[in-house]
Amino acid sequence: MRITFIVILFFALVFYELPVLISEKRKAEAIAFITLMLFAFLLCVIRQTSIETPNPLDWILHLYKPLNDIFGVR
Amino acid sequence: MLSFEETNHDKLTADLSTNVQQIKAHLGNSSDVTIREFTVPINRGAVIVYLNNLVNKELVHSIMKSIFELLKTYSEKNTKINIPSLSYICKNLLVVSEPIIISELSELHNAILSGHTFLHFDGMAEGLAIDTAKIEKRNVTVPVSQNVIRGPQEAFTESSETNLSLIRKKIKNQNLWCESKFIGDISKTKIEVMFIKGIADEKIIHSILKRLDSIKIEGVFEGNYIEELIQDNNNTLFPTVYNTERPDVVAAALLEGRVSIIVDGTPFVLLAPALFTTFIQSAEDYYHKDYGFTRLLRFFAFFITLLSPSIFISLVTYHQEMLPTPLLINLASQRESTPFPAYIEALFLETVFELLREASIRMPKAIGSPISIVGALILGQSAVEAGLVSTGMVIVVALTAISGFTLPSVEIGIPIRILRFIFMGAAAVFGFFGVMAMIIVTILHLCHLESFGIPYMSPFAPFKLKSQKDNLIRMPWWRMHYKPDSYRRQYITEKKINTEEEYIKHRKESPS
Amino acid sequence: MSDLVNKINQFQFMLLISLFTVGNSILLLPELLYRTAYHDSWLAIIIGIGASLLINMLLLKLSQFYPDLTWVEISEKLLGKWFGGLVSVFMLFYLLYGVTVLLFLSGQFINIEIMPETPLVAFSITMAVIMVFGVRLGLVTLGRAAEIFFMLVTLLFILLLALLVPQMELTNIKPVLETPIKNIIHASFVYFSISGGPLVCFLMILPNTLRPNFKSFQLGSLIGGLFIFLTTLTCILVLGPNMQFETYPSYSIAKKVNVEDFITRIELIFAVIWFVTIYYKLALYFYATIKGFSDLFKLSKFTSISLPIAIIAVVLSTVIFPDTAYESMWLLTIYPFYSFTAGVILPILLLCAHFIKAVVSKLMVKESR
Repeated sequence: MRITFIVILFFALVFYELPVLISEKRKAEAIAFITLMLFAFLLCVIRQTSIETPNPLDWILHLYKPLNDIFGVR
Repeated sequence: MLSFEETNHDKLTADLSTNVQQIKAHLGNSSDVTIREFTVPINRGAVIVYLNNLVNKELVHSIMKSIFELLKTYSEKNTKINIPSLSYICKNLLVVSEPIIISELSELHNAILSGHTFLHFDGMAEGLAIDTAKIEKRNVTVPVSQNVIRGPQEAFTESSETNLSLIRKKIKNQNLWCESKFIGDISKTKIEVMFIKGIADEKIIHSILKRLDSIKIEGVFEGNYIEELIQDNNNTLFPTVYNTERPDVVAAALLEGRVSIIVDGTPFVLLAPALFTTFIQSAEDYYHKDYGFTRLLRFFAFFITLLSPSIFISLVTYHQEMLPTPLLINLASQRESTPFPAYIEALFLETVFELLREASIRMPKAIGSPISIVGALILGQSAVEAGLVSTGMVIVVALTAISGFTLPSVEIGIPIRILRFIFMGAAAVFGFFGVMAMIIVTILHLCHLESFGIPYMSPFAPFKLKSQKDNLIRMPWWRMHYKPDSYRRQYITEKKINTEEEYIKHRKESPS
Repeated sequence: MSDLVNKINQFQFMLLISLFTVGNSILLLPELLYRTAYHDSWLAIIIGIGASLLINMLLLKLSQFYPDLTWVEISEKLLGKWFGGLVSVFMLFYLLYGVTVLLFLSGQFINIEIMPETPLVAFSITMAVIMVFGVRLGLVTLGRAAEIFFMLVTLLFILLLALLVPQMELTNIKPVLETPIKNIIHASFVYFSISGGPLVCFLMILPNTLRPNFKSFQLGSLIGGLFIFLTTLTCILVLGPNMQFETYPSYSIAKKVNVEDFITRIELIFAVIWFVTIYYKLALYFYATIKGFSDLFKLSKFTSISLPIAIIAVVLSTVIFPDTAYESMWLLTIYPFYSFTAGVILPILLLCAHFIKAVVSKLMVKESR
């Protein structure tokens, strides 16, 4: 049910934005738009199901953890 | 019948009867067209064509007499040539406006339909059109919509000549120029653009004239037709062109540097450009010594009329803790007996009020007051007693309506009404957070608008301290040395500017 | 037909900076700083403002060498296509995480304090919608609206402080400098990470400003810092040691406004202040993000990717902070380093690259003679 709603929403947004881009002959923007929309759609769908979505802040955490230990903050 | 699309470039023939046949065929033998054939010295046929109700018949009669006399004296002097050339007749005919020589049928139609009299002699391939217009018009009366207590009580009428004269009466300056255009493919309505050369910004004048030229429409009967076609390409409900019925407002606006557009057939004159503050200011601010107090009041009323239903809904539904406790107890006891949530009540009452408002415009005057009694007393009081709505809500809706009517221009009321419903919806869903979000969206939208290149929210948004003297308050006249320069790009300086080159040079030197 | 072109003037730039600096900090900082620096938080803020002013000079200097180029274009020019791209991507992700975190935090604030029964994501979505709306209208619109909103924010702020004066107690601030210096430094670091570091996003906006000068940049930062300083000071003075129990001290002090027992609990009117400043921080972060991404992909119409990135930000905002412990730990310990890297180290890197390039080109000119 939720996934249908997401699909409808994405279709509506694409419908709102894409025809303008195509009529103005902006190929690069259209491709970027479609790619990013697909990625966003994938993310939304993954979030709705019970797959564990990766947390990007975790990656940054791992990156800066040694600094944290050096400075010894709470 | 002539088709609407093509301009007919058919020429008049030299033969009188063919011409008369052609004219009769094109105008369809309409009963208000008079085609009168007569003879002039010496033994020459002539025809005079005019529309019955558009011409001054005495003037036509005196023209016919003068033509007769002119041709008689000419034929007595020159025995060889029977009839003078048309340019000779033009120059020697004793009428006030110079006759125009016509050779094409389309020009002939334009002339006759504007009240001119068409004169044609047998044997010449051209004719004369003489201005004899006398059109029925309304007298100058009091304004219908924008009333003031103290101030001039004249209003424009439907005739653009009267309107022009009313404005000229107020500004007797040689720099007040006007240009006329004919807009509307079928209706050919006369539009006059008036501005004070040297005060109004050249770019705005130029862009208005250019946009008027590019209008493609069949008929123009009110200023709004033009207004929607020349405004900046904004997808917005907010008006960017002001309209008024009062000559004093137009005169003051012309002095500020705005351009006025007079449409023949309507007493409402357009003023461009128009900013947000224009719709809150009224002519009366300058006629009373209240120094802007009523302007502030109107500005405050703008917010009340836009926000009060939504804030009331959000307070009562979501944020009851913000009301003082005694008020809260009263409101709660009122709302206990009403079945609907606050939003539905507000929606119901606002819709009823919109219906009432629309009905009151169309009501014939005879049944006006009984219906208002019905609306106010019975609907309001009985709805409360029946338990449909709560008293608090009736008060809020009444307050909204009253504040809405304080705004001097009806044009700004339209987006306010529509926005009010959107605000109520946002308040019902998200409470105060929703109202705040909608306020941000509205302010962003208003800041995005431009009226002929000038930001709509000047002088609020690009904040100019000196312009605040005439924005929400009105400094006394003896303090206002600096004129607000949102529209004007130069001040009338002591040095007189006589030619276009000097003006351009002055503009380059003065700071922008 | 506008002859303003697409540029904002210096005054609007200053206002944008001050609204951005205040941003989220006014809600977040009093509590966070109190954790480390207790009632000396106001000292920490002063130090933080000073540090932020220094870094602003760096940023402005960098932009003055390349007046019409945004960050992405500068790094591409100085560091080459691939390394410059890497640096830009790092920065853009910093900004994107800024949007995401801010969406979450603003939604959390409204969810906890005002409307607890609505799911948090509803507020995030609403904020994202109006953010996209504002950014699509353009920077000039945001600049003009900033003048109106700043006036509103200032008036309400002064009103709030004025109404709270009867409840302030100076003893709450004493003894001064009781906390160890290390904590104060840490707290100022936290202040810098939320209000000073993110100013690097203005490197995307500076090309669109008419003649940016030091005065507007520094004054904006100063005014924003002043807002935060006064709020934190008021929180300490009014709430005293009770501050550690409040999640949002600035909201709590607004709750305490009490005029003759009649006008009470009007905290929502003051929530307008934070709503507006959070909105501006969101809008400017988002503007910088999509402008950067579109410069990276060489797009000309940057609003075309606004929708997908907003959706990604909203979805990520539901993922990032699984619980409040993680959130506090992140904001107090990891985010300062992250902000420092993106806000200080990267501009210094670009400046060094610029100087190296200038020196090298001078040497090359000398050699060629």
